[in-house]
Amino acid sequence: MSTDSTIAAGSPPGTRRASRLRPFLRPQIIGGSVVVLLWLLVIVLAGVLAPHDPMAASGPRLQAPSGAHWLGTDTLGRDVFSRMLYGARQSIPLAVLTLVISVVVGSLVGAIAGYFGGILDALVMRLADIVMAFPSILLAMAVTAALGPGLWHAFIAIVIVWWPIYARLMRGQVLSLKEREHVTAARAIGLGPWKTLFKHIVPHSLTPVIVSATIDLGTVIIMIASLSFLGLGALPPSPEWGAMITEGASNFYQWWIATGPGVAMVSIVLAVNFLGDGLRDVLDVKTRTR
Amino acid sequence: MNPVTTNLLEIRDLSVVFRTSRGDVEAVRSASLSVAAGATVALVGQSGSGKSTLTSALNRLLAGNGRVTQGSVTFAGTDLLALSERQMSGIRGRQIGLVPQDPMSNLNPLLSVGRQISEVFTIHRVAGRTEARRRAIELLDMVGIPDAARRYGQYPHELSGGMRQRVLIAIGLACRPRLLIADEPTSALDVTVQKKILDELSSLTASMGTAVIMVTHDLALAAERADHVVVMNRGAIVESGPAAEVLKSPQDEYTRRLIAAAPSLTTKSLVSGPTEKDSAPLVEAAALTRDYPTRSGILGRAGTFRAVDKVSFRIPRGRTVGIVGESGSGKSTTARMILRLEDASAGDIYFRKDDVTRLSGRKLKSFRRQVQPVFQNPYAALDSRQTIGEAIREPLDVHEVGTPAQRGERVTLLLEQVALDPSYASRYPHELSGGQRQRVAIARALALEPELVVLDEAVSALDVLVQAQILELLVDLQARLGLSYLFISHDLAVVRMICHQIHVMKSGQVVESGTPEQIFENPQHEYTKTLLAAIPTGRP
Repeated sequence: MSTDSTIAAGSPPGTRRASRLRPFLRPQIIGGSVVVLLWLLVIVLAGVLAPHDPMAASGPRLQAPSGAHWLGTDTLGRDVFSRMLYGARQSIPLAVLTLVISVVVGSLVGAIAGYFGGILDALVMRLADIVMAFPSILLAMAVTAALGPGLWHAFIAIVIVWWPIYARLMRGQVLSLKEREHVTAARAIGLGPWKTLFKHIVPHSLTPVIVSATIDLGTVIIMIASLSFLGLGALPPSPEWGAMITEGASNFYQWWIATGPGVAMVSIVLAVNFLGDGLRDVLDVKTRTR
Repeated sequence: MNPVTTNLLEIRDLSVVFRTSRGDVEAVRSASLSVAAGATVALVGQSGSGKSTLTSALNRLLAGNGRVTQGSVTFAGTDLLALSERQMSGIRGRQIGLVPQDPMSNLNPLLSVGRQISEVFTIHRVAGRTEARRRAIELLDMVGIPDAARRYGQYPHELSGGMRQRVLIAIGLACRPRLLIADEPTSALDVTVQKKILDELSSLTASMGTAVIMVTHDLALAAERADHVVVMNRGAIVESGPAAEVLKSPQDEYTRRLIAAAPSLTTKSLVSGPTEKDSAPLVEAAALTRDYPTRSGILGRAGTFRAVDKVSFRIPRGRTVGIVGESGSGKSTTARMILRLEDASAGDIYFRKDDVTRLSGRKLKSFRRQVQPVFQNPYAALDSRQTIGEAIREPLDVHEVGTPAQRGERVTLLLEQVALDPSYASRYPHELSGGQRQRVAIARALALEPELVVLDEAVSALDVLVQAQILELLVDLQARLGLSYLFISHDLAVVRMICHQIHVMKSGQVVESGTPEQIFENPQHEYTKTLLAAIPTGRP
């Protein structure tokens, strides 16, 4: 493995940064990052890369893949390849936003509950237990159904079912960290509880949360697509991967309609999973394999 | 190649190298050592001196990145390094027993302790199941565990630290090995327990004719228990010889420093005796009590456990008051109450005649300025994400002392005060040694110019040489700044060196108080006497 190579003791300070980066140079992380970077490029440059307008018909309907339409056309004659590229603009940023909000809300709630304890802790964590007792996709469906279909409603629904994961994780971290001596030392110099929490506890507990969030990114992309697939997320004309797959499902013999977005989704989900697993192996001592 | 020898174990020119990300590190450098049958050899050195590595190398239990680069290990005529892993397994446990260091983590929590002993017999096929059980109970009895048949079925968490260490000794001695390696067998235990266990260990090995290699950092203990003492420093054996000789006339410079630094009951006190008797005390604790709620049984009937029971004492200005006791005696809880990190259930704390027992908010914050702690573990007490400078500066920022520029100057001054170079300010804790970190912790405690510093086992985790330096620093700072100390420790020898007044605690109560002279030369309470008798004196 690349991490096994040794460097000479007492190496000059310039190589220090390089040696700190070295553990991250593993095939999982590199491969995952490359694919993620490619998709980021697609998100930025979708307008340049896409050969056709994703919203307008650019040829006959239900055409098989050809030189003009690399992934064929859909029921309305729109170019599937272009729609797939534009679809990345919807699915990936929304999934990232969903996660960021869930992580921020969950970590805050978890950290406060863990540090202050008492009734607040009991109430908040029971609420988290209740939310987590439901299968997440079912609860998200129920919430979206109640709010009405739409990508933003799907976003709200996923945040609602997702924050408890990070709240629990963060609470556990804070509970074990708050007994550490450096925290007691901070209290003894007269630092207030909020400052102690955010200066001396939270920074130490972020690593597992970040690792967990990276691994969850794939799941969230799939959840958003699933809600759209069920007609609860993105609404028809917009090029969203889940919605595009729905369209492919009703035109079963035109295999290319669902294949494009399907492969796109598999590639990004796999890439972030590899990335997450790799990060966990490097950062999380408890699950380190070697 | 080897001459015929009468020694049970012969180690010749052994070197061990560990492969790390920073390159190869030589942990043991051409060490030679011999152990005669039935003899006890003590391997002494500071942490990182390579003593544990040496014993793991001879038992072929080195970590995956370690390897023997040269030398030989001959045990009872066989070259251990040439054996296959399978042959080695037949020797480990059967001919070479091992008592590991930490009784808390070296037993499997899911197996009863009896099973873990009888396992040794069944692994080496020396006894069947019922026979193994019978012999395990016999062993438990031999190592001094009362009611052995009942204890057989108990799990590690049901046993005290001392009991667990006895179980580990029973496992090590199960097959009547010819050699027993005891790696710091008692350093996690209280002194009184340590004495009992070492007594039992030596009488057992004597009756079985087992040779012992005892790894320890405690020179006095080594001299008291071993025939032969081997001193290691930075991977090399620097001195070896009969115990009494090494202690009396050490040849090597390092050994001499080690002996000089080791606190014993004959070490001279670092402080002068109490002078002014009845000037108003800085701190007065009056009948301080702390109860913890407990639950027992399925129904969880609530009870209380009294950790500290009506403890009263005074800390005069510019003096050091020591509290000694074993683990669980309530000494740390007392310290935490004085620091107001924990609330007293009853009783009062007066600070300069003001009652501070129930302060809160702003008044508590200004009280915290006056009373600062230094904790035991120099590795945990500093935030690993803060630089040394930030850590020392933090109390100044919290209390908004002076202008930001003045705070920066103060950090430099504080570092100089604890004899650290100001350039350390930009370093992180992991770049510093244990002793340096403890200096940083002291600098941080001094930042607010407190009147009282509470030192909770502040030197216990340090090697003796470093410990001596820190103690001198503390005494020096007290003389220069007029500080008062509350010094909590389990180590009577250290307390004797630094304290003006001593309180002995047992089960939450102060059982005896007095000056060091009174306590050490004329102890009144039975418990104090036991405690004093248990300290290794260095005389065999």
